[in-house]
Amino acid sequence: MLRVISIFKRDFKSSIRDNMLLYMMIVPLLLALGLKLFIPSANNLTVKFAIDKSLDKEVIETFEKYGEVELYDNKDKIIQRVNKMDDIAGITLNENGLLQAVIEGNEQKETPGMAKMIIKNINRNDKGDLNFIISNIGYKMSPVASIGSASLIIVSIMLGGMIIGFNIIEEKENNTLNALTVSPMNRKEFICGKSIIGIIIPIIQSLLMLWILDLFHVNIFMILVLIVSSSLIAIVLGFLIGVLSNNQIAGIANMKGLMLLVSASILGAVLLDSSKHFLLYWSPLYWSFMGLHGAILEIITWSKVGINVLGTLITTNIIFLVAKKKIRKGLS
Amino acid sequence: MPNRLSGLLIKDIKTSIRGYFLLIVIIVALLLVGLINFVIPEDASVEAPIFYHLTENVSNKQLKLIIKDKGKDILKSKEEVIKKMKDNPTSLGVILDEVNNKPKIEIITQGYENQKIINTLKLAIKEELYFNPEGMNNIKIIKLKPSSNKEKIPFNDKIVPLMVLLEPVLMGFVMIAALMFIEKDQGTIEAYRVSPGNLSEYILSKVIVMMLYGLLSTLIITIGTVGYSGNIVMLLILVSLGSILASNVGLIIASFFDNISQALIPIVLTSIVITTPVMLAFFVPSFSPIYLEILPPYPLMFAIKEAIFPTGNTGLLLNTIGLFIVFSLVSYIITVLAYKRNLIKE
Repeated sequence: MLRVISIFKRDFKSSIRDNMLLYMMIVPLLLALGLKLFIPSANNLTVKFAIDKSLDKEVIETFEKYGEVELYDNKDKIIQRVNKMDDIAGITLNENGLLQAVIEGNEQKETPGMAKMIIKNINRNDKGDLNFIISNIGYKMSPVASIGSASLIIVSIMLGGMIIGFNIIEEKENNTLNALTVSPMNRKEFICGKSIIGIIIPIIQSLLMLWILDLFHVNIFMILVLIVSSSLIAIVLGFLIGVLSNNQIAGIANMKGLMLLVSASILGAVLLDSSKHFLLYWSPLYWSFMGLHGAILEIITWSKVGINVLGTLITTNIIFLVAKKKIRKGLS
Repeated sequence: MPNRLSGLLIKDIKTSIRGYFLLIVIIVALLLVGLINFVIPEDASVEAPIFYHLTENVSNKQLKLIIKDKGKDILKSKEEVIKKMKDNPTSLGVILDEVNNKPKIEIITQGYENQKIINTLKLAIKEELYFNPEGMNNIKIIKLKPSSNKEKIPFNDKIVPLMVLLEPVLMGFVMIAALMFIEKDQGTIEAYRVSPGNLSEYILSKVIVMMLYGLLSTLIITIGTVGYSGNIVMLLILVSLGSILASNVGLIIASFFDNISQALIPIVLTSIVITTPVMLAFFVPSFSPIYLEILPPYPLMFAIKEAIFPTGNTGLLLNTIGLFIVFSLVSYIITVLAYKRNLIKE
């Protein structure tokens, strides 16, 4: 045990000396802060309209009910605005004094569709008397906030793995790895010692990130269980990067490949319909993401957390078994 | 100078190949091709799904018409609608009912949506209830670029421009720093100082290597997914310029650090900060806050999209190219100055 702690202390000291630990601690927190600032603008996403200032106040107010309105002095300025890169529909009067929409033609279908629908509603004499009831299922957090927060925790976990990987590469480059093989320390102690940093840092960071994002009301124990289980895959990937790479450039190249699989798991979980999620069952990060996302949204039960943890552990174990020989060979 | 530069280029290509970089570039590009072609569905969408339930009380024909083409989104009960909504955090629910022969419509939201979204859904339902084709046809829509949007692009192909931006263009951002630090450790840069070569050639060679890998990756990704369609020449010019800027920025950040382990996290941070809002703008093009418009990858993303799926917007391509020529030159000068400062310090 003492030897395990001494390896951890050594890595810890080396990380502090390089300021790496500082960056590793600060960067995800800065990202959390950035996300917090970014969420309001992302939450208010609606269709945008560039409207001629001279139009009736009532018309402008109607468009404001449905989207973000920008006012312009004349048609030329509206055309100039519509020609910019983002999606926006221009609203002007035609030669007969009727409302018309100006678009580029490459917008998503909602932009011209909404413009048409609102104009039609303005033109309609009978506004229709419909009885609407509005209710909600009680989720106050937008997908940008929940997906962003869960992704940040995953980034923090993966950073832990990356640091393990680059510490190993550094040991290889300085030949200290060879020196360690002739010391009384066995491989298991070495692996445990190297792994501690990859578990402790994400836990501290995630707690701080939840605090920054005002998410301390979520079930922290669930989050901790999910982080610890997810850290295992980051550690395995970290060791893999370390043993597969003879130098830092190879380390970065390998990291890129592995990070692609990580991103694919998260993007897949977000973009794919739930009926197609079985395509992602191979990925430990899919299970981690689903668990963390559910815990942040507070829609997950302990039994579902158990399933996600089990999914992470089984897939991590399979990856570890496949990579075991390589890791053993690389560390010897 | 050309001889020295070609010598440096050959050396840098060899160093990067020895670091398995070429292999990784090809593997990552092929993985992306596989992902786009076989994993990401053609019919995926970022639109919010709406689940419907029609109660037994409904006799109103028009109310029934609302759900006529909704297929699998029509559910048997309100509870099922809520259950489905809980599984899909972007979805909405609509319960169609009738009381005293009058339609009664319940809109169920997740809880985070703003009033504008609720108003939009109300309007859309109203539109379907009182649909009048004549009313719609009378509204004039002027298309400034009539050739745009002629055919529907499948979702998986649609994300190719984003992949080109994130992989080939931004590849140099991290990799070039690694290449630099390897040589720093080997003392190459000090040895080079006492040779007749100058620092600007030394940096240029690395930037060109990253650009070549970026071009290779672009060709694999685009040809492997959307084929030869689009304006390949413009695409390669855009990727080259984007790659030069990304490599220079990566080098500038790296110049503040002593080794790759130190530089890695700030570089990864910068890349996440730059790419996340651009990714959101790609999926939701109406998202365009001012801070996004000043990020160089933002116009580049639209220009790459235009090059892969041309709509005739040559102005966008030429403006972006002009902008990136300036960015590339300025960033290159700053990079050379940053490394000169470092060498003087050492």
